[in-house]
Amino acid sequence: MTRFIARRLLSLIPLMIGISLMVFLLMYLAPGDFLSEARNSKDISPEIVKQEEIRLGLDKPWYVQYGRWLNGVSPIKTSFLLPEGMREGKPPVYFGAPDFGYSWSYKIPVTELIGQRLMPTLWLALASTLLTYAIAVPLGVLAAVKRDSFFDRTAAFLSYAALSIPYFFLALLAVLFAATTGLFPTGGQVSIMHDFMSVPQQFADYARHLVLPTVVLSLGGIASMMRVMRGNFLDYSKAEFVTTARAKGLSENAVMFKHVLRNAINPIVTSFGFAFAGLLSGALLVENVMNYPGLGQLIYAAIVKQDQYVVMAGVIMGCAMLVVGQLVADILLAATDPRIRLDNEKIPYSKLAAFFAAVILIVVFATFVSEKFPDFFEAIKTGATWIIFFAVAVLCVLLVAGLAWAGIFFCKNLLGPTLKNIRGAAALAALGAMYIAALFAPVIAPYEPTRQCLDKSFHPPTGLFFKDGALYAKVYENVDPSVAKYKPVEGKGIKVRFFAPVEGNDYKIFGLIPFNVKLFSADSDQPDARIFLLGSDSTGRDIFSRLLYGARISLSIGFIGIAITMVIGFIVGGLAGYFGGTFDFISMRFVEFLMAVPGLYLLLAMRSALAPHFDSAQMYLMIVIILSFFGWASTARVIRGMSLSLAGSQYVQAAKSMGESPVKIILKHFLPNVLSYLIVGATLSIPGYILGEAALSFLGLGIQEPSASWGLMLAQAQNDTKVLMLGFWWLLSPGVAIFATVLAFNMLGDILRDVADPKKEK
Amino acid sequence: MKIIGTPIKPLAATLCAAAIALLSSCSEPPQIERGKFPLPKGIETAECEPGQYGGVFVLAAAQEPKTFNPLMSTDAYSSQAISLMLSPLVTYDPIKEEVVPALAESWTISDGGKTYTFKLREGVRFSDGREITADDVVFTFDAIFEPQLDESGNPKLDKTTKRPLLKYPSRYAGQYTIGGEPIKYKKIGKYIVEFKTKKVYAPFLNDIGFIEILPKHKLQKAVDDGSLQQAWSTQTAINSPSEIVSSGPFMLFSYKPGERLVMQPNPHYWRADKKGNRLPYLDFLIYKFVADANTSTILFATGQCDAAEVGANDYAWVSRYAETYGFKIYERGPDSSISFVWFNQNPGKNEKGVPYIKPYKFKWFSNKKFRHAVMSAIDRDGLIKSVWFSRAQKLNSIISPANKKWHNPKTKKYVYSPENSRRLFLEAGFKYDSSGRLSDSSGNPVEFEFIVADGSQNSTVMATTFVENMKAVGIDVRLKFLDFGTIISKIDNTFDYEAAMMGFTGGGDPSGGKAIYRSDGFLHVWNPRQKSPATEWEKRIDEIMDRQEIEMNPEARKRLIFEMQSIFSEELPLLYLVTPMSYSGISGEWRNVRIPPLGSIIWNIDELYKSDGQE
Repeated sequence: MTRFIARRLLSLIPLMIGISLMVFLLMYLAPGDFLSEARNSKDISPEIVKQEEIRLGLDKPWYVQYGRWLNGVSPIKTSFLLPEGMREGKPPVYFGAPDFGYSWSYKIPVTELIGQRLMPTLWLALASTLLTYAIAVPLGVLAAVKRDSFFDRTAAFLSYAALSIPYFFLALLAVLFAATTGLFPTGGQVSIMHDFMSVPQQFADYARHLVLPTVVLSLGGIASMMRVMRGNFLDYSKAEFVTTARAKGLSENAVMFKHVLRNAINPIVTSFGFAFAGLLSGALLVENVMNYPGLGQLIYAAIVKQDQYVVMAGVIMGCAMLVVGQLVADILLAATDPRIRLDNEKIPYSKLAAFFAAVILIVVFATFVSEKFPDFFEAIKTGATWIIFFAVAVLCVLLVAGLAWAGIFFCKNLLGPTLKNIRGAAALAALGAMYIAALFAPVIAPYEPTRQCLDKSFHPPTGLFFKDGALYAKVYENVDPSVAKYKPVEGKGIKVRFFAPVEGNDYKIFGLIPFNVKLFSADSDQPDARIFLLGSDSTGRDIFSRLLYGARISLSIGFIGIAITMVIGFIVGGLAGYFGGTFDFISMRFVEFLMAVPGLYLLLAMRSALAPHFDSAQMYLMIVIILSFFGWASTARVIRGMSLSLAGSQYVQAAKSMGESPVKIILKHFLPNVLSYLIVGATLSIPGYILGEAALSFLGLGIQEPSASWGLMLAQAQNDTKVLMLGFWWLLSPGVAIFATVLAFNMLGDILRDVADPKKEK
Repeated sequence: MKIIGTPIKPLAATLCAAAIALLSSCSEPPQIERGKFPLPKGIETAECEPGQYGGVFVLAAAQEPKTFNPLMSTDAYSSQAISLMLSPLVTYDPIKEEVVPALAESWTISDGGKTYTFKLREGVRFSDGREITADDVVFTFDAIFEPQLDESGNPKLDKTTKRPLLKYPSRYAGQYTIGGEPIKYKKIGKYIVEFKTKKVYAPFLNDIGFIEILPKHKLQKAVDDGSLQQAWSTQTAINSPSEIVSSGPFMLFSYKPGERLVMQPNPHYWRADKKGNRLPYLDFLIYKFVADANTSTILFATGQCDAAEVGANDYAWVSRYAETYGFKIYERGPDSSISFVWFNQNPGKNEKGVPYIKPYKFKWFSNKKFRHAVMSAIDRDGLIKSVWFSRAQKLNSIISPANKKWHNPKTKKYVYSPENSRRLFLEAGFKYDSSGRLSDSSGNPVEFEFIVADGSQNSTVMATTFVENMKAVGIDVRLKFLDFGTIISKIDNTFDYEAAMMGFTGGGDPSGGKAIYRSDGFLHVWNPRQKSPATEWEKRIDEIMDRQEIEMNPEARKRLIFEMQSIFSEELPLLYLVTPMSYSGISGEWRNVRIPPLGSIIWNIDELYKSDGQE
């Protein structure tokens, strides 16, 4: 056990070096630096900026900067890496406390800064973990005991719903709730008078500020853990020892709570560490929207301000917690489940050494090249762009083939059973309708998504009425322009036309066929006559039209994203399982590396490094790529496990001995076996992409104006306080759209899992 | 309390119940001991109505101070906190709109405006009880001009300018170098300091008088051992707030980064009311740090802080809460900042010999008629109506109308008219094709990329409207959002952009805008740091800016500044957008509130008192 823990902790070192190097390079590649703002300030002279540059070491090449940082962090230091003037009197190698550098914007040591912010985040994570367990376990058991009852179904539906609400949307609603009711503080960790309180009062004050963020952060966890708990409980209640217990004449209560519950709760309790660590990523969004002064808020601000060392320390912190959390989970699991052994893993030291030697070689080579050729990084940037485009082109071919195959497979094997299930049919129908609407957006949307009407900002949804057998839209008048208050004009209406060609509204369906017919339009000569089915935004753009065009992004991003992850995941996982050995070792270490990275933080860093090189149209592609970059790792791991067992099966052995090529074996024998897993996994991970894009756009890091995307449209409701405060509720409709889509996908995925599960068929 | 009744989760409910039980005895801030120290001889008697002691004043701030060292402070938030703790020699009274005494009781100007003699208040002390004397003033300027020494103890010189390199470069060193030479200062008596400049410098009092005087007894050591830049950092404020001594109305009580900054009255402050009670009246001043300006507005609107700037955007909803939470909102007129769109007119080439701007585009951008035509196509009235609900004005000059003293109301005005815009394009030799697209005389379609800093909702709306407006006159604009750092490096360094949008904060003396107006200025964004003026009109602006600095006659100086604004509005290197109205709100409990035409509503926070004592 001690050896296992020691090994795990030691494996942190290369992981952290890798991650810190990655983050450092990303920050370095991002244009501008911490002093950009100072450079443009009216009252800071260029001399000061120059001196600050030297003081911060920004005038040195990146590898010197990174070397110095690493030297500071490491407990074993060398004086060669110290800046000139600090070397004297220091031995070449010496020991020292880890030093994470200095925050440029707060001007205090990073360790101190992190120390201040760590506790609030830990409290938040701890409180929501506890809350999650306290609620999810009893509810899950109850749902299992009362299986298929009204309670079970309601709980199932509510948990789908809870899983489908984006964190940031929920946080937004919570802030609104706090602001309007005054029951809870709108943010912060303590109240203003905190300093003047007695100790118990201070404690109560902390607790009061924790309530809302905790609830927001826990909701998703409660929902998913409840589902798991219910499933486990049901599985064990069918187990043989339970039947035995019942046969012995034990009371039903004793059977349920002494035998079933104890076994069912095991994996959940052991996942404590993992759940705890996972909350840290979620905390980033919640802390930012709810203004809770934790690590997440600090790191987000630091990324925006390019406060490099804070970002690096924060990311490392998050990653260390993730690893430690997993470690705790593993230990707990081993402690409670005698079947699991931790020590039987052998370390391939020679491979490990070779791997690191290669990494170091690459880094040294890169350093050398960048010193000899200062344009190296420029070249890398353009090179990377081209490589990405090339990779995308190759992937596209694979994707189309993969999607088509998966589609055929789906229709043949899964569609029928799914349609037989009412919920499955409903989810499929809802998704189908949405995709068709998005596809035909130019026909259905009455206006272009960018078309403004500055006279009619924040127009409420237009009311409709019937008169003389025709549909009319009410006409509104802005009765109080100082608060954008509209009232319908009595007795006035514009006739609504259907399928009529509209002048000046030429567009091309699928980018090919020119067309100018709109599903519906206002029958009026006035250029400003509008029908706003879902109201208008701050420049009088039609929300309904923007929602439809935004759907194209949200709905396609998931498909493209999962197609990429599934293809890469399948190829890497399949090959690793088939070949084993060195390829397996290296690819799995890389996969573990990706899985250990605190995704959202790195996502932000990556986005700010890459963004300036892309147009807003390409940004869409970039988001997909960034999201998939982190997504494929878990798929690859599962596929590897599956193909590892398949590789040992007799028919694969037979095919091998008959001289079939590996590609053929993987395609012919592995793929059909794992396809249903891939489809189910894909369906269940689509929501991740939709939410990911929405979160990025919401933070202002995704799709940009004037294009429309659901996350971006919601950001308007957050950034412009008057939207919520003056009750322009229709601007929240994108949140509902995200919710509905994610809900449909979650439901579909769940049903597909049941359908595809061979155990269920019996 | 209502919290118990709401169906909260068990754990939270337990915590809440505990919280309520504990909070039922409401907490009160500790009493501040008053009148501990007798008033000094040089005390200033405030003209305000005498009030009573007590009360906590809460402010929300979206950003935290980065240092408490006035020499190191480069941002408004640090400066604001410092200004509450350290007093300058003289200060600006925004109601009287003139320079008034602070630590200096009086001053005389002699030698044709080149010598200023200040007399300090007698017996006034820092918050730790040490008297403030001429030595502290001299020490402050010594610290600014402290030279860097080489090994042999001689001052190091800058290679290009041949001037001594400073040990602690700060923004003040440049400001106090007048006519190429640092100002001269010397102690005449215990309370008397004299300043001499090489040539007449009209804004002298504004510049020199406003620097906070540093305590010699606290900072001498840091100046000597080279640690002045790290002295009085946020770290000092966190660990030992009493180290940072005050001469202003407040002194530091505690600072918790990310949370709040608490100040308490300085028992040695140099102002008292007519009854002989030392100011300030309030017991604690608290800055609560919040994530963004929106949060601070919400806090104010829900009665959780005492004063706030309310944006034109938020006025509509904040004012609805005025009665519920008992606050008042004052309209303060247009904002002093300016916002604008501009085209890159840099004629240079990058190191590979490629022009920053394609030559045919440079031709458009440098054509005055083109800029006029674009300006006429921007629907600023529509923007004002839709986004600000009519709480904004069109901007017509490079100095905002908020700056009443210097704003020229008679500059050229531009009216929204797409027809007029199209006519101007045609006059300038551009052509329209059958589908309404604009191209130049050689057939190049008119299109450009427009870079905007991401973040603010208002700038996003202005940018998208600009794109739509341009589309309406046949121009294709590609909107690109970049982070601020990238934009700065593009407009300041690489110059690889076509059009951009930005804003500058304004207000104050026009000399402060030198870097924007002058052709060699680094904020002359459309073509910065010119070796010699590129155009005739830029040459004229440079002349005006040189001239107004030595012009002692206020009327003549004003005429010069007016002429400058007329030239800018006619030549239109910057296409002005709108300036929103600004509003300030303050809780109705506070008395002695006096609203100045410009600047902070709580400029006289030392005089504010709570109407009926403590709650």
